[in-house]
Amino acid sequence: MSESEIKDRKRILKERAKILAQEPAVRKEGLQYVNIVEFIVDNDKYGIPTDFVREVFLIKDITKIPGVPDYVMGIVNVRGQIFSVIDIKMFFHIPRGKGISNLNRVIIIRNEHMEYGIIADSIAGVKSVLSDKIVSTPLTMPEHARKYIKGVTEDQLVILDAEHMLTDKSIIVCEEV
Amino acid sequence: MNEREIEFQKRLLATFKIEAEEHIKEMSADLLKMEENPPHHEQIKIIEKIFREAHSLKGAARAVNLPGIEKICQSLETVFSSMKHEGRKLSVGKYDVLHNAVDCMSKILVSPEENREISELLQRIEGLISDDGSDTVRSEEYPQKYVDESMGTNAEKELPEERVADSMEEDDLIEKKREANAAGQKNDSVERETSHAKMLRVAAAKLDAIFFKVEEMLSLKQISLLRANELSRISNIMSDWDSKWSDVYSSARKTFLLQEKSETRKEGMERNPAYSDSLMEFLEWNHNRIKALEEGINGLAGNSKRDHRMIAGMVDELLEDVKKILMMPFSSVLEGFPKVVRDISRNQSKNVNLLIKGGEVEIDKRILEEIKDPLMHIVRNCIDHGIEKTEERLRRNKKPQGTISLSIHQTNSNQVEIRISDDGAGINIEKVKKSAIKSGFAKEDHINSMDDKEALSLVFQSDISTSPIVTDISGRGLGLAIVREKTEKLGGQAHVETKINVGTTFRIVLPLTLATFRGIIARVAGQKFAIPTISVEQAMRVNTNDIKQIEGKDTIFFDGNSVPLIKLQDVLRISNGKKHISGDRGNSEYLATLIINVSHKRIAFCVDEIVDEQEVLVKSLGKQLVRVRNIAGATILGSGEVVPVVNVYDLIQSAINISSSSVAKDIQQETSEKRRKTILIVEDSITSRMLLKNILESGGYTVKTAVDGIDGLSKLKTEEYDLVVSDVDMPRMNGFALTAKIRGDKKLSEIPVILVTSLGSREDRERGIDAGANAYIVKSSFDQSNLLETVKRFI
Repeated sequence: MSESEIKDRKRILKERAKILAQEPAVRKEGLQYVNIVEFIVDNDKYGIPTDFVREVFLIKDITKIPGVPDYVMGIVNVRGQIFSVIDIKMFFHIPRGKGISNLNRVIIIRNEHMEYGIIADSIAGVKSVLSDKIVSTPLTMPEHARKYIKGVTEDQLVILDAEHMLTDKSIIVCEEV
Repeated sequence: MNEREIEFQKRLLATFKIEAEEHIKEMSADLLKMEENPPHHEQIKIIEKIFREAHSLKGAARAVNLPGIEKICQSLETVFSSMKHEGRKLSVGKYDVLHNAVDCMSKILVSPEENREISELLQRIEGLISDDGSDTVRSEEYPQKYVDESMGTNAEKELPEERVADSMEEDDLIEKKREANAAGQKNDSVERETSHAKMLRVAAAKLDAIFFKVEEMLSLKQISLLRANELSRISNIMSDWDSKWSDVYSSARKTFLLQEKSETRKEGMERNPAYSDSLMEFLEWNHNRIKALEEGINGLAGNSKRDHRMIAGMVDELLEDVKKILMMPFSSVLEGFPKVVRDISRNQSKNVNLLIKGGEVEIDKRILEEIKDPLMHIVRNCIDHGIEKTEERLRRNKKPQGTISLSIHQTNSNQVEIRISDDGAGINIEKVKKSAIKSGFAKEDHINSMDDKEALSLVFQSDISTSPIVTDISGRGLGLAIVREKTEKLGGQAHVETKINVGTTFRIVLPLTLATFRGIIARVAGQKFAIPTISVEQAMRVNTNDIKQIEGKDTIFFDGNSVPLIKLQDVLRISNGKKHISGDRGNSEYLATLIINVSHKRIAFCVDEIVDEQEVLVKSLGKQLVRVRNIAGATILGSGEVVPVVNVYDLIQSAINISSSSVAKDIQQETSEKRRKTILIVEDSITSRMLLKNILESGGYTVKTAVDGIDGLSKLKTEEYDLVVSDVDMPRMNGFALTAKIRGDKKLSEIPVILVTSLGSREDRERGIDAGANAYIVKSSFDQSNLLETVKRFI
């Protein structure tokens, strides 16, 4: 082994040692997970943080209310309490696909001041998503929808910004004659 | 401070607020009493009371660390103590300062975190009892006469005594105060102890929660009724079976017997008797089984009917009891009235005395909350329009002080009457009529033919006011309309009587408790809706032949009047597009119709079918639907079905809007059909061309296209167009050149030109405008509605 080779080797080893000595970029306790309820509307996957989900249930009937915006599907009775139910695709101005929709599940989301239901075809389950795996919303999403979306995961799961959906005034219906 | 402590502080502050509000209310009321200058022994009592209130409030404020309130109370205490011990009297004008102080405390209470400058106020309060020359400084704030009174008489007289008091040893004074406080506290605790035994203080929110839960039990009642009805329906099926069975069974038996006989006779031997026997046996067994079932079901049906009666009785009783618990005396909302009357009348330099009688009468808390503002409005009206200015009153030989009396009394077990009368100028009926005619409420000859009583009730119509000027207090003609609407919503009535120069009396009759809401369940375009029974004058069937067309609108005659008839589904906008009701005869001869009468406006609404009439519990539509047009809420039927409850006030308004707009719409449609506007699109890109064409066609225009400027210009010269939409960047002739050509042509120069382009710079825009374009839309900011709006502006 020539001298230069030894030098090279030393240099490489040093570099390797340096890299190894570095703290890992993501430390275990630094990992942030978001628990979300994953659901499907019209063949698209959406997720909403469990913190905002009050309950999920199967509906038989939905009562239509005349004179409300299109995105309000109607109202449902949950053990004596009335909830309005909205269709997020309509609210986001996302055109409907050709798939067949059941739309027979309602996810009630709430915070201190607001409470309403979101309609879904089916519930895929609850899962944890690494928060830095949520990347920004693709530009193909309609402008109006992007405000209410936190981001998208690798497997095309759209994570909704529940906080904003609950605090945003534009979802509230308040109409005079 | 850790979280728990903060939480504790929060709770403490909330409790303090409730307590402080009470003290402040009391103080304010007592101050008003003092101002009326009651006899001496009364005064002593009142001062003692205010003193105690101020003292307790001071202590409490210190506990929650609100130094502002604490300091104000301290100064007030000083004033009252001097009034108490030295017999000092305050002149009328000086009470303003005390009222200010009380107001200031309630302001601090509302937003304690806000920093307020109170030192000046404190100075003024303490200035009330200081008697050196500094009084003259304060005198600027009050009318001279008040100062004269106080300075001239009281202050001088009190002077020697004050000196004596000053010279007294301070310790002595403090001692005295302490005694007084102790006495006060003792009294307090005695009062509290005795009241503890009979009364319980419960937060209203807790009672409300109980009330809501009890109200929910109405659905239990509905469900039990539903079950009972289902069971009796099944038991009817069984008795049907019973009668059928006995017919068939007896004939079957006979057949068997005959068969047996004939068979034995013919053959002389038994042939398979076991078969028919076992069949008969089975039929017998089957009969007994079903009989047993029938008995069971009948028993169940009977029991469930009884259960329903029991549940209904218990729920109703419980609800009544809870409603009674939630009754509150009128005085709880009338407390603030004397102060408001005082303030307003001072403002208008009128002298008004408010007498309240019957404040102890109790009424449903919810009614009280709703009726407070209307009552206040009437009282304001009385001051503003009723009571004349002092000089005016003297000229008419009236007492200089006007009187408004508010009296409440219970007329029967579930009704209360509130009378608000003033001894003012009265309402000029001619003026009411004039205002009604001016506002176009009804035709002139109709109004002129009204008798006085009818005409007077016009004051409850909106837009009718006798006041020539609109003030911040009244005169817009809206207030009394709201008074009536609120009263009617609560199931009551409002009346008015007046006599020129003698006064006006408003009479409001209200139920003591809010009746459970009843609703008519009707089917509209296949969907069920609940309509409040109280607003429905009549539910009836209308023969389609009785529908007349008046000015193109469907009308029926009811109760001697013509009433507009409109489909409820049209008003709710769930229509299926048929215009006139009389147009779709054939389906049925009769139409189910509800005559709705709200605030003397009557409209007949026809529905598919009237299903039921029952108690309904109106619930909100959820937090996201704050207010929805025409819908007041929703109710849950016994079956679990959710049914929207109609808002009749909206409904009448919507019906009026629809019937007035429909004619206009028809005309509009006609003209647009006569000649659709034609637009020429000049655009070289095929995709852009198709896109623009689609958008404009969807907007209802006829669209022709050209591929470039030259093509466009030749088309413009051969055909007629109303507008040109052109791209800028095109081969052969660009948009600027085309625009310039159009403007240069005599025949075409008037045609509006809209340039649509990807060139977004200011220079380009200016160039476009220079060339004579009417509008310039940049493609990057382009959207459909934007284009259509721009087009609409020009044609």
